[in-house]
Amino acid sequence: MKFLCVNAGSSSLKFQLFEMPEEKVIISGYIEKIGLEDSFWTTKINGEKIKGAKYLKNHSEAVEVLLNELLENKAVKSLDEIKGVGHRVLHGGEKYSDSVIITDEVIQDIRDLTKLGPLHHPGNLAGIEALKEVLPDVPMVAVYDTAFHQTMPKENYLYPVPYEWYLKYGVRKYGFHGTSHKYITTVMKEKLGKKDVNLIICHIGSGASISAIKDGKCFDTTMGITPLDGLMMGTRSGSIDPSILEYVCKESGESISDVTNALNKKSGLLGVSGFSDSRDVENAAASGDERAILALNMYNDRVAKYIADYYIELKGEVDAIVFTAGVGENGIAAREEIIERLKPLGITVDKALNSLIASFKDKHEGLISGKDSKVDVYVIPTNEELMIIKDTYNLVCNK
Amino acid sequence: MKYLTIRTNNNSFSFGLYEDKSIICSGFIKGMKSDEGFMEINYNNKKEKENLTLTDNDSSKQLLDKLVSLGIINSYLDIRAIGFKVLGHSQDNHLMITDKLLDEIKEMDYSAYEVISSFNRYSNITKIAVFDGSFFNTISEVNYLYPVYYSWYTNYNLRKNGFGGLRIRSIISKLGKDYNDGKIVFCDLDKDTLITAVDNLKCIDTSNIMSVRYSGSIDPSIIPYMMEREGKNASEVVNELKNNCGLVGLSSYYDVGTIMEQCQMLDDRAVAAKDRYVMEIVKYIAQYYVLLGGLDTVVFTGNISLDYSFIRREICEKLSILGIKLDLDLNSNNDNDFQIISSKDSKINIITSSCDEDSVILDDIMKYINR
Repeated sequence: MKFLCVNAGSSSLKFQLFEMPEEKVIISGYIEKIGLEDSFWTTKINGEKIKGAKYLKNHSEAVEVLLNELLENKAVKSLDEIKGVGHRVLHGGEKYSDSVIITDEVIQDIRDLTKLGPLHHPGNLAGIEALKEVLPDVPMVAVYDTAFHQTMPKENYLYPVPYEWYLKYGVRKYGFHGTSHKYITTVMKEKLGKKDVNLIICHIGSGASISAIKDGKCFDTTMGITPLDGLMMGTRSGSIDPSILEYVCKESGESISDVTNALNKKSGLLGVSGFSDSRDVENAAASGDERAILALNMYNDRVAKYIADYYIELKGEVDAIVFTAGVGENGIAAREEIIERLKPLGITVDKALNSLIASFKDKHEGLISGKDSKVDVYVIPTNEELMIIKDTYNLVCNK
Repeated sequence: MKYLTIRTNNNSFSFGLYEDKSIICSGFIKGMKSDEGFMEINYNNKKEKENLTLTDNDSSKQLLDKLVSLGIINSYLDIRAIGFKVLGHSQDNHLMITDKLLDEIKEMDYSAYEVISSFNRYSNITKIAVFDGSFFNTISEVNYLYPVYYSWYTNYNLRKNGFGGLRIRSIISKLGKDYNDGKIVFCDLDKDTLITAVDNLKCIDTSNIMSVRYSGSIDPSIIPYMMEREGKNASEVVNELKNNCGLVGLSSYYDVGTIMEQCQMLDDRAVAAKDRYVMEIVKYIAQYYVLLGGLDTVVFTGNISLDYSFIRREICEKLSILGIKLDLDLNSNNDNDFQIISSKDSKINIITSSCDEDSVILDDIMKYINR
């Protein structure tokens, strides 16, 4: 049975077609610059990359390209073979604590939640609607990036702000990267052979969030009402003193939305070092660039601080710390730096083991903590698409 | 020789008058620049109160004239020097106030500037600025920079500033030599919640976190989000985050006394607010434990620390995995202004201490005079 995973952004659309229940990827692709004259796409099948380009006015035209790619590359003989589509959706609010079959009500809810996901929901909706148009009889599933975090207790999801802000406007921590945190939790349950795992999961890529998992469920996470909260990231500041916005507006004469935009797109590693890609920052730091070194130290400090927070929140009862996503899977130096900062908690790194694991090496996952470490530390590659498809498959096939 | 110490705060200031190192009298003036001013002077176990008109920025004259009329000083010339607390930092802990320095103080601490200006009529008295923020000069770039656009720091000097430096310095002078080379976290729980990491008497980092009324660091997106929901401007929302959040915002009770009382009566919302407050403090102590590479001493100061032994108990309980352990008897019988309250088998010393900023200002005056 074939299932399609779709991640539609405001101007891009990623897709993967899976054979289920084998969990095998048949074809994948990435369509970029939708709505711009120079739209283009890359499709991958059997290790081969195929490129295409043509002006794509909107998401409907992008979906036409997607289906064409499936047919032309003989990933499917006919579109009837697609038994379900899983859509990544940013925000499920408080209503959705799990993935759900898309109905008119679900679409309306996603539309209503645009206020909490203004940058993502218009693209998510356009993707869903375009696919519904061409595949009207295929069941579709919404997989929310926030859903996994809905098990957080109130004491952890409330902000210390007027309680009415929560009641009236939904001001609370929702958390993001839920699909990834859920995937890693599922993998770790199997690996450790127990259901009630306590974990600290560091999903650190260009976006970054850390979750505390207690008894197999999300107990706390660093991202908040939006993905800007928590850790310093590739281009985001993370949580900061709220006076900063007002101060910068006043000093620079910029508007609040300019400053918020800068906190999302020009801050973090990019803001401090001048380099947005973490590999570029690491290269610059290696060649002695002071601002790059400073930026990395700030970044690693913050990851270590949140791990310490969650170690205490979990009362020290932590089965494993897991690194995943771009930096977590490939940042050998970053992992070493972060774990070394945790030495006062008795957590240590085995530098040799750590240096062997990365997506560009033979070994992609495994244990990296020292023998004497109080807590085991692992690298586990995340796979959000697979999680989306598993949820879709389970819902569509009533498993 | 007599010395005067002055600490200003929004149209009011408090003062202490010292003969060498002993306090002779203390008090405050409120309602500066208004016709509803008020002065209180405590001396010889007596309390002198007076309503004043202070529209002419002459609070200094009214105070010194009063001290003369009460016979506490013969003339203003008895006062050798005045030390003013200034919120801001300089390369030094204290500096003599010149016209040039006064201009700089105007930028950092306007209410101190106004009071200092009022005392400028007494040109014979040496005036010294004692900078609250200088204690934090040793914080390194990696800790004082925010993870934002770098030019906001270079162009607008946006960086973390420390507060409560004089309070910490006053406790350090009580700690004595045994603690000089230690790793210490100061938990100053008062109107503000200030957590400060110190190693070898040097400040390493400080954080101004969730307090009675302030939210602490949050997702900055909340500001534009709330502006849109409530049709407010940025400073209105930021004001709410500074003044209506924290313990008060979460619990919906108005002051810390009521919140703590309601906690004892197990009111849900008060308990939830208090639990969050305790957890935020715990997290920062844990972060500084990691940053400092271990911890020798935790010092509790500030009114909330000193008035509510159960807050200290809950904080320490949550940190027990770090080997911190209270002596519960010492903790609940705490009326000392400096007391060790950790149990003998605790890996980390726990101390309660009051603070006395005036004593630090006085020390700095003496250091300047005897330089």
